[in-house]
Amino acid sequence: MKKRTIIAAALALAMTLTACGGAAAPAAPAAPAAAPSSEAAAPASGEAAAPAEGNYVDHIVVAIDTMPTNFEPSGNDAPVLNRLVYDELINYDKVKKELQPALATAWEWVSEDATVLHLDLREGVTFHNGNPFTAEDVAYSLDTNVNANIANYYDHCDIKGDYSVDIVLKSANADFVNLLTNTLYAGIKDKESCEADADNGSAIGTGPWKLDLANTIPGDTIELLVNADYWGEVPVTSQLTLRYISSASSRLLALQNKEVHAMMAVGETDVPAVQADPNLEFVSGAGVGPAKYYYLAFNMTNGAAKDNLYLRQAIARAINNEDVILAVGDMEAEASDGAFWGYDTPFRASASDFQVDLSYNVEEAKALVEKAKEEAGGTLPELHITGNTEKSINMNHILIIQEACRQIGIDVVIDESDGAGVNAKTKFDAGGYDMIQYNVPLETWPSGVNRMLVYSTGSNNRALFQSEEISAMLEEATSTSDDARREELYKQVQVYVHDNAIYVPAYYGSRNGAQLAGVEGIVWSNDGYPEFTYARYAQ
Amino acid sequence: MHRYIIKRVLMLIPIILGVSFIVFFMMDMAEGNALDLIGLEYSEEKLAELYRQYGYDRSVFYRYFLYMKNLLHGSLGQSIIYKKDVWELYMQRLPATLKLASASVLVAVVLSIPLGIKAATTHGSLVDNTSMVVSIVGLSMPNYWLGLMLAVLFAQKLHWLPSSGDLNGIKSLILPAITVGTGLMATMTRTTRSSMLDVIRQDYLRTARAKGVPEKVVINKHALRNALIPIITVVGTEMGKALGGAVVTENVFAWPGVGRLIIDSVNQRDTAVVTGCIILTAVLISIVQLIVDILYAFVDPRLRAQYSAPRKKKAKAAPPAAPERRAAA
Amino acid sequence: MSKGKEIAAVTAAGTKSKRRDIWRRFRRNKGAMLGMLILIVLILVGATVDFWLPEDWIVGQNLTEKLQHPSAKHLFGTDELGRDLFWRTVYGTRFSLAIGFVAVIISALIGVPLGAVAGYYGGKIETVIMRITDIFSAIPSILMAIAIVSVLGRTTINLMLAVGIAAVPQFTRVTRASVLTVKNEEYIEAARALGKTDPYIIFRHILPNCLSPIIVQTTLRVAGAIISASSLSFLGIGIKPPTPEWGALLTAGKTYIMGYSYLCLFPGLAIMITVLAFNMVGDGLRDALDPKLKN
Repeated sequence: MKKRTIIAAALALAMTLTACGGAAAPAAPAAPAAAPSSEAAAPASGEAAAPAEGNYVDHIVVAIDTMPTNFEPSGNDAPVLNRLVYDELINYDKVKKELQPALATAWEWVSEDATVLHLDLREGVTFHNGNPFTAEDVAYSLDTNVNANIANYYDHCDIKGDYSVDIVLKSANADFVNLLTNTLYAGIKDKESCEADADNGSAIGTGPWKLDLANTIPGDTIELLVNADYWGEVPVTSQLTLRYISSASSRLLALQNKEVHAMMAVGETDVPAVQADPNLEFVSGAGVGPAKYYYLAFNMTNGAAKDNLYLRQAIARAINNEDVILAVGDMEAEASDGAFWGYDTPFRASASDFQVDLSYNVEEAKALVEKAKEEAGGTLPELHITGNTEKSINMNHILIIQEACRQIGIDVVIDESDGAGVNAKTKFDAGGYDMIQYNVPLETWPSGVNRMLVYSTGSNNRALFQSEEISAMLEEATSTSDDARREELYKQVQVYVHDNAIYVPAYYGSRNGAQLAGVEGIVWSNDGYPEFTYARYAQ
Repeated sequence: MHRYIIKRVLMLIPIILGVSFIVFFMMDMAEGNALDLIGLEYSEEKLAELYRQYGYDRSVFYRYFLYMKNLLHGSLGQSIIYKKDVWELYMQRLPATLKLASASVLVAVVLSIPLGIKAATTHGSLVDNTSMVVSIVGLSMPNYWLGLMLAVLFAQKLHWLPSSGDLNGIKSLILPAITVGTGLMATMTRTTRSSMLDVIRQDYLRTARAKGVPEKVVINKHALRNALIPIITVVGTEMGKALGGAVVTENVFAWPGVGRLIIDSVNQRDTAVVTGCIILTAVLISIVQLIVDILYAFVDPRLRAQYSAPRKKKAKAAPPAAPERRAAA
Repeated sequence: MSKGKEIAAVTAAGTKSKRRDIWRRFRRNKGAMLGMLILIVLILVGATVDFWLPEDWIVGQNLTEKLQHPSAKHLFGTDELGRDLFWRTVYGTRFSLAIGFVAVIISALIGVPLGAVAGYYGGKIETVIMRITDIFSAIPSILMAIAIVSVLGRTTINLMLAVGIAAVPQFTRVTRASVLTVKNEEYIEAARALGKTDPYIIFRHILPNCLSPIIVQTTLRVAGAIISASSLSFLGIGIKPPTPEWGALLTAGKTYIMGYSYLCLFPGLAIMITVLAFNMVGDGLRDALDPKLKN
């Protein structure tokens, strides 16, 4: 009889033990993470690692809001990670707004037009696996680059020597030097390791941090170890953990609770609380420019409003951008003046360039609705709006649009969707929506993502807008080096898009972060992608 | 017994086939695919190449055929998003899920069985009524909500415990385990109480009492043992539920478990990961069920006899149904 | 009078006095009566709310009053768009109850006939039905529901379908088990001997006699369905805003939980109280229907 009781107890116990046994391996290396929560854990190792400047904790943990999933620098959409692990050929200093040498020490166009770019490469740089960095790696990284920004223009490399290379483009692109600076897709990887290991070979870079793949849980935590042989300044911290926590409130909770040292993207309503908390420091990238441009776009391929200009203009005039900002709660956002262009990108049109006034005015909007009804032959259709509604800032924006339309007598139905759903809808052969709320990351140069919004095959062309004329103008503007001509072309495009109410931009959204008081070295640039490279925290 | 185990293991095959079919086609019918998601900024040529590589340029049947071919070779396929083997991904997440499931079942067992016994033996008393009220309230709470409220209280207001992740050892485990454990505890307390009540009234216990056996011995030695089967059943079911159903709690506490991987992968339309993880979860739950069934045999010799009986007509023992099956997500 | 009708009449007479017994036992259970009272109030509110609650109170935005803590003017406070949370929660009753009921009706409509057929015929039919049930129940129900909603799209109807379909296996199992207990009773044999058709026997004799576990299961499943639906909303796979379904309210509130935890507290309490009421009624029903368990 006794046996039965024992067995019952053993069942529960065995399950626990097997579970804990299995868990021990991955959990153990992560144990130093206790450092932020208990002061006792770090001192011993901290002393060894810290240089002359003083005592810094050994291990920094940061909470991030987007999830780096794989380690292909040109295709993983993870600038935060890429900045740590890889180097670009050229750096762009967002504060000084100038180019700086990185893996390339010098560059110049060697052809008449912008088609052949010569680079001199830095000598003595090694990859994390000890392989030397050479022109072969540059050629390999560009050859295998999957990103449209590079791949659409790049043709091949002429290797002139170990540390000298010519990049040859398919067609001229005056912005190509700038494109090479982007952490989103221009990191340099090791040719040898990539060829030897198709899965993880591209995880080897030249950057200040090495990926610790053995302890990394994809989609949850990424562990990094300092690269003591880094060609630039070596960080004083020896271990860095990136933790993916999707909800802003959970990230803040973890920060307040000292589980992490810093977090990306404070929730809008939490900002006052963070500012009031003496243990925390609220940071935003003021002076660098905002991160994303939020807009409403009309489906110009098969949407209900594609042929009704008055309807589009009426909706544009019914939306108060200040209301949108209030609803999404972005304190530092800046309302749009109507131009769909980067914040401080060259060749930006201003309100005086537009020929049609589409500023907020409900009375005018109602008048336009009457015209739109005439045009439509009596009644207006019910409009379906979609967007990535999983994020509350998008949802609240959509709700404001819905309410604004209700005010002028237009019924709007919200079709909820998520990232994958929206991407599937915004293909030219798909559609199935009349309006879409979305955003576009801002680039500092005109041929970057901005152009994708109206270019006929542009990936960010959520309006599904196709016009040969506009595409030709954009192509010419990209290839010419004549600034006056570029300005003329780009402004024409902007005026056309504005006056026809294809995109109705709402606001330039800001990004921010927070860190424990005493954390130093994190560069909180306002593009939403902070640089954690030199993060350190005094004992 | 061996024959029974082999039969149960063989029964896994149709389950694996069925689950893979259902999940694979459902994922495929969802709007969008993983390639469009990661490939937004990819060049057209690269995207077209990936479409070919993963079979997205052909019909879903072709992709399912590819998937099943891989499965026959023992591979659960490759994740498009993570560019990793699904098995590897799953094994990286499994420890956290197992840890959470066992801890919450352990919490529930340790608290609920004594409570259930006490409630049954003092039937109608304050303890009994309180335990019933507490457990029905516990059963009625959406556990993600409980988790959120616990996190606000213990992490934000009191700073006692970490609010997320699995980096601080046992401390990280406490809040998620309580969150999952509350629902389990409620069910287990109710089951223990009702099966004890059933047993306590049986004749042989009256006989034992009449013979002057002390009440404590009657309860612990005779009653509890005979009430064990429903209790084991419910522990097994709840363990299975915790393994497969802690999805929401894992999300609340940013717990690096399988559930969170599945949800993220559903959002990313990573068909191979979702299908593979659900298959493995189903297998894991079946294994727990099998262990429970084998335990019955140890606890109750009558059942053992049934299992090992030569295959006569209708001799198959319908494993006792779980007395309280409830889906608390 | 044919023998079949006679049997039916006897059963009916028995049922009447049985019903009185059940009600007497149910009435004695204080918890169950409290639960029923709550349910009656909730159902009344849910059924009539459309007629007396102005639409503007529910979806009308007032950005000047956003995120106000609970006060006399706004009992539950206001949300991020300045909408009164109390009235939104009240209005949400309609959706949460409707989802619970419809989802369970869906699962009962599919699950009960399947279970009855499996239990009645046995053999190959049973094996096939139960194996398919096994396959479906091998997929954790929340994951099943997530998959269904991602496929069908996020509308209220699809949410109900998803939650309903995910619960079908439980109905099939319960029905089959209780059909097994009655299918060899004498009156069934008698009906069969009289040459009644199988569907007639199943619907006329078998199901009425094994209703108790199904009724109990239904009540408890409504509670489960409300929780499942709100969990889906919580994971962002639920109902279309600005519909104030409780799970959706809670999800919206989650964003603001750090400073404004009341936005999560009240919708959560609403869910809990409703589910509690269903559970109490379910328990009461089970005890009343099955006196063996009552002590």
